[in-house]
Amino acid sequence: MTTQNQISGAPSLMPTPQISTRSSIWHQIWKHRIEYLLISPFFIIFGIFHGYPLAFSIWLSFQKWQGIGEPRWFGLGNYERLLKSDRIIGALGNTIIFLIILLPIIIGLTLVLATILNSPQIKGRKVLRVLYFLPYITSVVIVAIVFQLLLNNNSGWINGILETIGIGRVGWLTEAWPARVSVILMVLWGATGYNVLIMLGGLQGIPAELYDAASVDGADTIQKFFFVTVPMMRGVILFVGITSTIGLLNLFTQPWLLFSSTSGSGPDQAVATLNTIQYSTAFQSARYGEAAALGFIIAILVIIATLVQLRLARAAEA
Amino acid sequence: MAKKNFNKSMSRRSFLKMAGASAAGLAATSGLGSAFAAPASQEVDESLTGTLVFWGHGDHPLDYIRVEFLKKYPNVTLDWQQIADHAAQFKTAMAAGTGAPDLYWMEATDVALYGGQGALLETTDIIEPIKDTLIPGKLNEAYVASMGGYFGMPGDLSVSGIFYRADIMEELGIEITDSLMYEPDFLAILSQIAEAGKKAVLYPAGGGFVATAQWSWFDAQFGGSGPTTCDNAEVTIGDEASINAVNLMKKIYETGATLEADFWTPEYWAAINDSQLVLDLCPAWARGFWESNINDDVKGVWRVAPFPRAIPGGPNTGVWGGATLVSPATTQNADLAKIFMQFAFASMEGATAAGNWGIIPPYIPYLEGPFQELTTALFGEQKIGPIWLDMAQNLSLDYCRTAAYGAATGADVLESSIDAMIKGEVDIDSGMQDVADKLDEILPDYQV
Repeated sequence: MTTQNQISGAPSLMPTPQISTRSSIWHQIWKHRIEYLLISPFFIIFGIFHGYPLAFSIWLSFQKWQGIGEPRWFGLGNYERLLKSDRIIGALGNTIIFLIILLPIIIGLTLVLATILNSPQIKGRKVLRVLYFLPYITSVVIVAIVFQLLLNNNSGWINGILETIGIGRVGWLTEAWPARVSVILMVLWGATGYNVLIMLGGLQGIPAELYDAASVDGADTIQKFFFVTVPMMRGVILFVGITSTIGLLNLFTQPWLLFSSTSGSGPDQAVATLNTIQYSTAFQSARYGEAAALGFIIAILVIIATLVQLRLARAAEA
Repeated sequence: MAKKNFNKSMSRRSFLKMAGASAAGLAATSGLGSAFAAPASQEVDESLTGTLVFWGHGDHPLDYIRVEFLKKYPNVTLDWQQIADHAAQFKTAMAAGTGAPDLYWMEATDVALYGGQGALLETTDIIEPIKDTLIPGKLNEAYVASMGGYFGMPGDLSVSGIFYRADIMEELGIEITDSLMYEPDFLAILSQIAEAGKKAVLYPAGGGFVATAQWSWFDAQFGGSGPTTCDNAEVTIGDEASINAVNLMKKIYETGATLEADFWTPEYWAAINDSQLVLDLCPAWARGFWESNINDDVKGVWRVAPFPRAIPGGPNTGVWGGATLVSPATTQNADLAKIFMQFAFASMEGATAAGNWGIIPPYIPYLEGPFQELTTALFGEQKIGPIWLDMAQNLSLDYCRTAAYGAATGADVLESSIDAMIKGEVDIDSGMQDVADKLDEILPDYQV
């Protein structure tokens, strides 16, 4: 058997060495041992802090465990319990409500704001960009306290303003839908700045010539936005969409802090999310196996949502 | 635990804890009408050495006890570590079997859970000789039936009573006595308060842990054993006492007097400061937080009284929170930990220090001694000691907080269901049957 000479392409008279695949892999590893050694810290740390906990959680999701003593095998019992639970169904419904309302608002609002902040006509753009990003780096606990003060029924500023203009008080923290709106407002307040920054980065990558060409064709500002900006920003919009979806499917902090006395559930369980239930199942009810199983259910939902978004994006491009 | 454990582990309300805790200690010193010096005859023992590590939040009830202990045992090192998320860290350390502190302030339900698994240091040897000096109702919480022994030292007597504005009650012609019945006396009082445009009894939107705490009180007062039997073998959350408790809560809500505000938020304190909230049902450890958060002009006019009774001759109080001082079984300093426990809550020095901080230790000689003379900023010249002691001696011995208690009263069982029953959206009998069914399904998880 002959092989081709790698430089000239001419057939080589040297026989092909018959090396097995297995020894070839080890040979390759040994050959590149320095490189593997240099990248090993990442994999070691990943293994310890991500791989092992992930594997342990998978195993734990099939056990009953109170955090002390030996876990007991429970098979698919935790998953069955969760999928039959009205509370989980309700929380999933709440999560979907937050997703349906917040996702378009986050994408639309941040794109519009970023477009405005990218406009050379806006004075003080740099200062405004910093101000928009400040909420993202503000302690969410402090934000929750402030929101509670603003939104409380009797002495909150929001109700004070509403009463002054003749609308009347709203039960922001005591009624189901207003409670959802409170969570939505708090999420928007914190998430807008980060996503505006991402959008801004994308906008600055759009060639100015495209806008010039659009102007030559007679496009106004709105038309330029929809026919130049939005198509050119598809990738960034998809990124913001996916990351926001992941964040919303994992929503925990805002409902938990705003409605801590009801374990993040709020009035009529209106703001309970899968994550607030996961936390209370683990750290209040000490059912760590069930909490681990819920974590994987959430992960599966995130994967499904992400795949759907990627499919839709590809279909739109096609 | 006293001030910060709202019937569950406290990690979830860390910001309230920090705000309340940091001020409560100040209140405990500045707000007290009288604080007692430790007994003068404290002998110093320099032969005792060793180190004990304690995890807890800042401004902890054990802080004053620590000072007194070190006066007596100056060569012992007490490493007090203030950790914001100590509950989660402690549970992690216990799960790992290593790294836990020598001392921890633990809820009764966790004592049952961890003690039942053999994860706590047994203290039967130090409890048995002094049993008669500790309030029986509190001592029960350190007893783990499945192990047949005591684990830890009972710490904070979290009896609960009526806090009321004496001046406003007088204006309204309402008399709060220690012989009220919920029906009809207390309900009539609440209706009268509502008619006067005032508020009485906190009931947050959605109920939450305040609602489950109220259920706990009333269930005990109706003769219930809690969510399960004391051996954690059977579900009792759907029994007659439990249903009666929810019915009572519904009737209280229907008087229109309840204050719809979140627990201990600015709205709650504002209602007190504005003399809107004129009566509430509170645990004893609430006093320190009240004194930290309300204006001086509304201190001194409050009074405390026992709960009304649910059944004639029944208990006139219930518990909310209240911790046990425990040590993990893995501690390397078992003997020293036991010495500290005995000093903390079974000695006059320790009990006095605990009382000065603001909790009520279960040590009877202290409760029958200096505690009788205690006056406070909140309650003015009222001597609250006799009232709390009477309530402590009336604590139900049939009521237990077992390993399943936290989950049973938590978000996935009672807490998520009770509000709809209170508001009349769900029939109470069938609602509590559903709750019992949910608990029945998960109870095996908490049985060792």
